[in-house]
Amino acid sequence: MTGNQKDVGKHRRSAPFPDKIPAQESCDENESCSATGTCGWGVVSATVCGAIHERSDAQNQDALKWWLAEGERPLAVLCVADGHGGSEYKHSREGARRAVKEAKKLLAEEILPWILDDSTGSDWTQFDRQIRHWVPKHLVDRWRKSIQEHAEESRTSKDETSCSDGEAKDQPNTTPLDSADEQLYGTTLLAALLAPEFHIYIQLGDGDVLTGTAEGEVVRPPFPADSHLLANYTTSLCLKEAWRFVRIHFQPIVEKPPVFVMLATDGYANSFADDEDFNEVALDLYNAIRREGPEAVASQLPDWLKATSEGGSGDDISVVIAANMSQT
Amino acid sequence: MPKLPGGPLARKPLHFIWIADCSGSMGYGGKIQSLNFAIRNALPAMQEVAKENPNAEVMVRAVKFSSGASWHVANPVPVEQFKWDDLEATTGVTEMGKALQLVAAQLDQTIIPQRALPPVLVLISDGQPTDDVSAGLRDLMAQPLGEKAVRIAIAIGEDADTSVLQRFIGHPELEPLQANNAQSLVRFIRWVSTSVLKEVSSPEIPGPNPNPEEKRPFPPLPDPTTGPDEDDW
Repeated sequence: MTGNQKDVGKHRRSAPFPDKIPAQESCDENESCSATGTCGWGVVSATVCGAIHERSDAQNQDALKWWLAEGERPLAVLCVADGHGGSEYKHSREGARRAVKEAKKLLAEEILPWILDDSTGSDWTQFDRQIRHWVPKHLVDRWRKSIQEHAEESRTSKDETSCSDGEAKDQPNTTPLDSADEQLYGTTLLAALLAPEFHIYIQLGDGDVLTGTAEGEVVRPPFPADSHLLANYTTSLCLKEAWRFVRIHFQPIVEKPPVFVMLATDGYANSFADDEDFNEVALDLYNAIRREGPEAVASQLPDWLKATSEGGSGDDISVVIAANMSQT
Repeated sequence: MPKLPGGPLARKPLHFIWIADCSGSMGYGGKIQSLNFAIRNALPAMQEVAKENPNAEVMVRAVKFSSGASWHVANPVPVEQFKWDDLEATTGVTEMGKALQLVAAQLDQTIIPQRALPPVLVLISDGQPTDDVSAGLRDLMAQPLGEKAVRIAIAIGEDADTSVLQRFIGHPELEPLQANNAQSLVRFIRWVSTSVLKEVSSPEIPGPNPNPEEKRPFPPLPDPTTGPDEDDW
C-alpha cells in the first residue's frame, strides 16, 4: 500500500460527495425514468408489479435506484432489489427500498470519493482486496440499521395510535431487531458502480447483471458460483450472516469499457427459457436506447415489462440499464 | 422499437413426478386399481389448480417400480394434456432404490433449468424395499433439485415401510400419509395434486433459505378419517 492510500470506509469528507458533483437520480414515484448524462451515458429504468401480484392485488416488492454524475467523467451507480413478498416477509417491499437506498449511498458517497481523491494510488489489486473485505459487512450493516429505523418508526406510530393519554410518546422505542424481525424485510440486492477506470458489480441473491461489448457480445461478471440460487431459492440480506453471500466482481477497464450495463431482478430472466433468449433483452434495449433515445425507451418499458411478466414468470420485474450513447 | 425485447417468453417449469409401486402385493385388495382411480380422479382438479397460475408450466411424469424401475410416462407432459394410463401390478419385488435413481438422473441441472420451480416428487408404496434404497436416496439427495424438491410419500396399507418413506420425505413435520383404504388414498392423491401443487407454484415460496435444515411449511393435511363403510386393506 502506498503512502497516500487510505483504508476504504475510513475515508470521510466534510460535505457529502453528491453535493460536489451535480448528478441526476432515479425518481421513486414513477414506474419508469431516464436520463442522458453529459458524460455520454444514458440511463433507463422501470419497475412493474408482476402478473401474479396483480391477480392477488399485492404490491410490487421490487425497488431500484440509480445515480448518474453530470460532467465529463462517466460515473454512475445502479441498484435493483427484489423483496421476497408473502406473509413471511411482510415488510420486504420496504426492505428492498432500503437496500437500494443504502447501496446507492455506500457506492456514491463512500466508495466513489475515495476513488476520485486518487486515494487508491491506482493500485487496483489492493483496492479490489479492500473492497471485497469491507463492502459486504458494511452493506449489510447499513441495511440492518435502516430497517431498524423503519421498525422503530412503525412502533412509534403504533404507540401514538394506541396510547390515548400520550404518556409513552416521548420514550424511544429502540428494541433491537432479532433475526425473525429482520426476515420480514428480506430482499436480494444487485448494485454496480461504473467509473472510467473500473466497474464494481455486487450481487446478493438472485437476479442478473449483464454487460455488452462493442462487438455485440453479452457478458456476465464472473461472480463465484452460488449453489443456493436454485428452484426459487435465494440468499438474502435478511440471513443471519448475509455478508457471506455477497458476491463482488471488480473489473478494471483495460481497453474498451462495456457499451452497456444492465441489472435486472430475477422475474425478468425467469420469463425466458434460457440465458440466450434473455441476453437478447439487453441487446434489444441497448439498441433501442441508441436508436430512439432513453426517454422514448423509458416511455415504453413499463408496458414491455408488464407483457413479459404476464407471458413469462409472473413475477415483479425491475431493470436498469446504462448505455454508452457516444460509442460508435 | 422492438415489439417486446428479448427472445420468446416462457413460463417457469414445475416438474411433478409420480413414483408408483407396482410390485406383486399391489395386486391384492384392489390397491393398484384404487391408485389408478385416485390419480385419474384428481386430474381435473390438478388441471384447474394449474390453470389458476398461468405463469407456472406444470409438467407431469410417472415412474413405476417392481423388479426394476422404468418410466411409465417418460417425457414431461403439460398437465393440461396429461392423461393417466393405468398401471398394472406385476409379480415382481419392490426395487424402490432403482426408481429413485431413475428420478435422480432426470433432475440433473443440464436437463431441468435453474429457474424451474421446485419439483414435486410423490412416492407411493405398500411394501418394504428389496434393493439398496439408501443408494437411491443418496443419488436423489445428491442432486441439488432432488434436495430442493417437495417430497411426499403415501403408504398404502399397514405393511408399507414408513421409516424408508420418512427418509424420502426428509421433513421434520411431515410424516408419510397413511392410506388404509381406497377412500383415504383418493383424498391424499387429491391433496398432493391440488394443495401441494398450488403451494409450490406460488412465486413467493420458499424465498431465502440456503439452509437445507429449514423446511417449508406444508398446506393443511387432508382428514385421513375413514367412514363406517370404508374397508381397510
